[in-house]
Amino acid sequence: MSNTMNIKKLRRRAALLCCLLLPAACKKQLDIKPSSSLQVPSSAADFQALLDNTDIFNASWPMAGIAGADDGFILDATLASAPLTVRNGYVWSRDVFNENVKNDWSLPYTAIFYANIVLEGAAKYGGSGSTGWNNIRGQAAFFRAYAYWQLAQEFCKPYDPATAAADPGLVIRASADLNAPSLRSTVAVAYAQITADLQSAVKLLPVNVIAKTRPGKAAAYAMFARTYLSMRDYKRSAAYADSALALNSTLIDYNGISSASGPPFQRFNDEVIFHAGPTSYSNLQSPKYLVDTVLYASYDAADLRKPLFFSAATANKYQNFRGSYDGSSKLFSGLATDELYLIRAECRARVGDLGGALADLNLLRKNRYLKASYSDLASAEGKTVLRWILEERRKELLLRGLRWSDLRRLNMEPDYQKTLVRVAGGIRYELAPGDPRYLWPIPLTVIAETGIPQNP
Amino acid sequence: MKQFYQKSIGLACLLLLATGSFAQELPGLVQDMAGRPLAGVSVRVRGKINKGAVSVALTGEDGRFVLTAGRLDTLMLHKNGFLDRDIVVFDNSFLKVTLRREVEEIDEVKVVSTGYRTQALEKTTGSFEQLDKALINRSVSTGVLDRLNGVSTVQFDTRVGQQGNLSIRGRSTLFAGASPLIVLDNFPYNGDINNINPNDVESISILKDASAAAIWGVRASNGVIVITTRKGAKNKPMTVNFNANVNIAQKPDVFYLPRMSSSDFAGLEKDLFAKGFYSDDEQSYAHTALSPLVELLIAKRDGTIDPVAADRQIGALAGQDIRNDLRKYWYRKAVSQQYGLSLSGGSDKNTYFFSAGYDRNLSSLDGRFQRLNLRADNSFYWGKRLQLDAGVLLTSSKTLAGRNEPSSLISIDGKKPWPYARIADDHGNALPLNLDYRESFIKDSEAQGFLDWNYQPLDDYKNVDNRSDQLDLLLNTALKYHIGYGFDAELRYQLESGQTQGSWLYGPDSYYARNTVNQYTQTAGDGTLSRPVPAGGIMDASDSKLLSNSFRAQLNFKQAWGRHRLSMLGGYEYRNDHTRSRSFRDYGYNPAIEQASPVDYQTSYLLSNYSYFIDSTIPYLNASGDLDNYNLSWFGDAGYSFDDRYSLSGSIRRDESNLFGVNANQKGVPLYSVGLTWTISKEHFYRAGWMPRLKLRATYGYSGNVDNTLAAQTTIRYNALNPLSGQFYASVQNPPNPSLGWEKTGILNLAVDFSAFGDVLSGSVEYYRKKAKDLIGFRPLDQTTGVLNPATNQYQFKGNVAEMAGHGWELNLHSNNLGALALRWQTDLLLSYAANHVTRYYQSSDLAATYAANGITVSPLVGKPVYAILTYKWAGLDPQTGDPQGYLNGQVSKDYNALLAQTKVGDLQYVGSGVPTYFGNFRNTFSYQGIALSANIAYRFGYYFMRQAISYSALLNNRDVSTADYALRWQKPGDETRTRVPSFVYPVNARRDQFYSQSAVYAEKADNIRLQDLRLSYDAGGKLPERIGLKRLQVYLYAANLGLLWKATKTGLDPDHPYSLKLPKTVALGFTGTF
Repeated sequence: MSNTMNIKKLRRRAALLCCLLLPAACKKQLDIKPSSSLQVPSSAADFQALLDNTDIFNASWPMAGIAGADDGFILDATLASAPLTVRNGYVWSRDVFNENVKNDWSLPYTAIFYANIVLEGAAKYGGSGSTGWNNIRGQAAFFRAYAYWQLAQEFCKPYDPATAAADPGLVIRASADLNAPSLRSTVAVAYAQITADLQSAVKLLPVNVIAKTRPGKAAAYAMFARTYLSMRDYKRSAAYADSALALNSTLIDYNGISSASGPPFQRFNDEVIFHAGPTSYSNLQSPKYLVDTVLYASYDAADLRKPLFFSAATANKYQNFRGSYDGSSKLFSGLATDELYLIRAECRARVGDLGGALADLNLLRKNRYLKASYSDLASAEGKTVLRWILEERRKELLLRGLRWSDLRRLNMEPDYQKTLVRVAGGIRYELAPGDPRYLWPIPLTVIAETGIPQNP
Repeated sequence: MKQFYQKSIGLACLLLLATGSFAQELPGLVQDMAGRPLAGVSVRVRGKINKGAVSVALTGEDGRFVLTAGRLDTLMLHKNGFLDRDIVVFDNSFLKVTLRREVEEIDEVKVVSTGYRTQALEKTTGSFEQLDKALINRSVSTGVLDRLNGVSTVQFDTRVGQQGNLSIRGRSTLFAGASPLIVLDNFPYNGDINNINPNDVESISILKDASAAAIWGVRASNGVIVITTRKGAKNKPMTVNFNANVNIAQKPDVFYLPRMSSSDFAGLEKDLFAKGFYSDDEQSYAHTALSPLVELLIAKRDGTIDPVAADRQIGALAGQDIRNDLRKYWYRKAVSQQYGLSLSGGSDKNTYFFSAGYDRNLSSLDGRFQRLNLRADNSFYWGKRLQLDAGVLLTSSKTLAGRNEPSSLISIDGKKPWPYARIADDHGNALPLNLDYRESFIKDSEAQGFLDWNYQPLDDYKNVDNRSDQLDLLLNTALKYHIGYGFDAELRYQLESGQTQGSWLYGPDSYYARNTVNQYTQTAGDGTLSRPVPAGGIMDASDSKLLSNSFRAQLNFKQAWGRHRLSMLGGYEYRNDHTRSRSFRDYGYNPAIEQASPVDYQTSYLLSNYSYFIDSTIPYLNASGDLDNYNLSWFGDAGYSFDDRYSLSGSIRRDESNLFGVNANQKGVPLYSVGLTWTISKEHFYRAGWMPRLKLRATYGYSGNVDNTLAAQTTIRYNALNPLSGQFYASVQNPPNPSLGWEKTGILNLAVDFSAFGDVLSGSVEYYRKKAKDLIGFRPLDQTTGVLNPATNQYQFKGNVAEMAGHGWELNLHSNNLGALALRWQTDLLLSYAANHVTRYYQSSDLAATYAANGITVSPLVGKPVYAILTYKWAGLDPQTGDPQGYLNGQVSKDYNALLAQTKVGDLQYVGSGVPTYFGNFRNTFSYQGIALSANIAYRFGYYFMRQAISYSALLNNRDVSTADYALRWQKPGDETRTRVPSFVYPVNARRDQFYSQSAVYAEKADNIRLQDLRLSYDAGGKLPERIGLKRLQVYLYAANLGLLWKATKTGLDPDHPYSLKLPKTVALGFTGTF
């Protein structure tokens, strides 16, 4: 009797013991991830999803160059209600990028941080060689180059081979590590970084993309062309424009576009190679932003861009821009074939290939002018051809986020220098070629936190 | 085994004490835990030295006995129904012995539940607060936590945006969760706390220090609230309890907050019109609505109206006030009804408790809420060893939203209604109030075939059906086995299954649906319309399911021998909470046939409400989520006491969880506590007869806190389909943070418990210090890192960056002022002091703008409280212009840009805490022959609030009229002596507004005393209840939010509600009784 009692007791105690051992089985569950939408990125799809974040990579590129350039103007009443950075940027005043942490300095660096996360993740999980991972690496490299180029146009002196190794450049963030110090390198280092990244992007990116928000090989070539143009390396620029046009040479014939109400161009239209735009500020867009009257007057009557790009403002006697390749009132600053033709034309003209330059120029004009009144331009004089091309560039690429960069490089040539003039609130402002205000100031908090040298 | 202990203790005593035998008369007294004498206790002496000698005595009616015993003899006390007790005799002084009942009855000894065990309050080392049924049922409310308000040290936050947040002993964290852990019976409660029916609650324990909180581990550093539900009792006949009440709240007082008058606003509009302020809006490509007064001015200017008629109409507008309509038609009296019925009892073999509760509320905004609770709780006993508990709680609630708060009357560009707006005509019929678009645009659109674009706010809610249904099931089982030798084993399992279904149907006639359909309507070249969002309703549905499994295995040991008592428990706990949620939207929803129409989410459409090209895809609001948390914990707790004089306790716990990406060695964290008590009044040398109970307590320990949203590795969050690229996209949620850990809070608690003058005065004084380290906070980052925090949109990093310290004391007094007479008068006083300050914070900026704070948001400035009011120094108004002035580098300055951008943090003026530092309640209860009147006075001292300053930029840009200061503004030199309201300038300067709204002159002392509530009850005595078959019947009247008795501020504002409407007065009538 007492024996069976003991056995029963033992059994009971054994059962209890089992329960106490259970936790060993539960241990594994500690490795289950707590949330489905939150992930530790590890797959190609995860990193692609980061690259598909269009807020970071497509929709928030620098805007101060648009505020400061001479494509148009803002009326005093509108300017009064504009955000401080727009208001001050418009008259090249120094208090910009300080009221909003998302600004022309921080946003491209956010893209760079994302690109670094992707590049480090691809190195960790991607092995080497698979097409999918290469595409991801290529996109990240492209975006990093794209961001550094945008930053260089706003915060560095224009590229000058004589001084580039000494001119203060950008902070090069080589990793996603937030503890890595931010140090300012030189202009030469910045452009070397851009070209190195583009070099790997060209190698890794596929020809075809499933959405124009993603860069492909043509975008990398096009960005190379744009970069070398800003470095005034015309030979290389022409070569890369050539490579890009070899992949996509489409031009839209404006004769087939209706100028009726509604936006004349579609987003992701056939000319677009890579879709991007500046941070959207209503004061820099229609209907608040008004087109420069001299520029508007420069389009002749047979130029189809006149009815397609502009419409009379309802509230005043000026013109609004409505020709954005975004298909809305938001501006487009991505890469497109029209820019490439103009780059190649300019570079060809500058290296003496006038025939080639005129061919590119005339091809573009043919697609822009009323068929009935179109005729080719012809000249044997290099200067004339170059001037034509630069005028065409001005008319074709207004409000495309390129004018600021163009002003900087053209001001280095006495023939093409221009002093910008603004009148706002009854005060006249001027920006002479080579003015130090062609470099925007770095946000004050960045200076305070990193101690990097401020722009003059 | 018992003998073995006795032997070793005996041996120890022999070694320690000089031996010497005596045998003489030993008088003594035996009591129960409540101090009542126990008769019929057998007291036997077993001689230690002289083993043969046995003497026996039986206590008398007075509990006293006398027998003969020698030094180191053992007295063995026995009485049926009580635990045996052995006591070793040291000398022949009078011996007082307390026997404990085998089954401790709750109403005999005050016990607290920590969720792991029930302890006699008297035996604890820790800091507990215990609310019994009577106190819980003193007030009337739908939710159970509201019952703590005013009768405990738990603070209820009243600050705007923080209402309903509870805190125990102030704040212990900066940015992680700050709410106390809520435990229902034995497990943390994960569901909606409003599911719990207050009538089912037996008691609530509040665990305030580390001793008990450490046992709850990483979730306990904000304190723990343990809710114990009612149970049946063994060998009790069936009793039936009921409670029914109805609570009525006044309409909110819409005129309470000061406001700019309609005529002032009308005058301002006329001035602004003359200055051309409205010309931008008049030309607006968004067709921005203009007020009727501005429309009249335009018509007058354009000559489309007779100027005399225009002026007359303008005059009429200036005499109207939207608040009249709000008071009359928007709000109603809120009515809450609550009914509860319960049944309980038990035999030798089982106990049972069944209850049903029903609540039905009608809100002041015409919203409806219904809740049904069904609960069963049974225990079964097999022999003396095995016990099975099984409980089930089913809650079903339905909420139907009423009108929105009037503050939601706001246009798409953020403008408030004009202050003279009408929302109803004189007969109460709803009138349109179009805040989004101009009347002319609405008319033109309608002519083109658009849907009616008018908005009638007063009855639009009838076109919207916004409801939420909850069903929550809680199953509890426990198996307890009495192993013997003081050991008990218990297994507990809890299953919680909750489901919430929301359906928010914007009917086809609702403004939201019509506006959405219209915005996306496309006009072709020939004027024909197409509707990418089909006409019809818009249905937002959501559902969320919670499944929570908790399991606990626990081994208890409890033994007493001689004057020693030892209790220990240890075990482990497993818990999994799994929540799945989904939400989706249907367009073109037809409620009659419950069908929706498909839409094209990919195409970007030009919006019809802009005259320029603004495009958007149709919002895609389908989403799902899945949260799966696992926790595994080990815990142990031990208490030892000697002679009821000294006790020592300790607890330890280790938590592990699947916290995201934390390195394996950081997943677990051990937390501990130790505690000591010394009951001085039981010492032989204690002579203070006027204070029969005096006890000292001390505890120290660590508890933790956790932020589940953080991760050690880089994490990304997936978003919905990207309308631009047509791809799924993700954002970086956390940058890599390999050193992420838990927050830890160390708490030292020192306390004195006492009772004095017989039964007259009792209470406790507690003092505590808290030190929290590894607190989660934001470390600002250089923008160049690119680390954009998606939650805050700032370049910052959230990690363990801060430390803070807190200290305070609590006084708790209870006195029976007139205990012995027919008229009884009891007073309860709670007085708390709680202060904290940040001791370390990663600071990269010394700019004042980063820290200037209104006491509502956390402003972590080292050396200052977490909720500090930090303001710019005020240098008065400029006597020439009425401009506000501050100090910059010691100089009076009007450079607002510089004041905001360059003032250093050291130049800010620290005003004080934004939350009360001294607070408590003073409750008096008078009772006479069944009539009881209880009045609760609440007081809060030592804090400040920022008065709302006029913002001219918000006034112009948002029609924000929420201050009456416009009328008091500086207008001409000399005014600066009578006012501190700056002059109006045009164009407005937002930085000027910001500077003075954050300047010291707007700080007001918030100290106040208020009559929180009154309760009048009558317990029908004599024959009346019996005649209707009742054992007990009580009728009660309860009134709350009765208003301020005193306040420090001279403004008309209630300092606890400076920006929002005051809580309306409520009055409730109820019955409760027992069959």
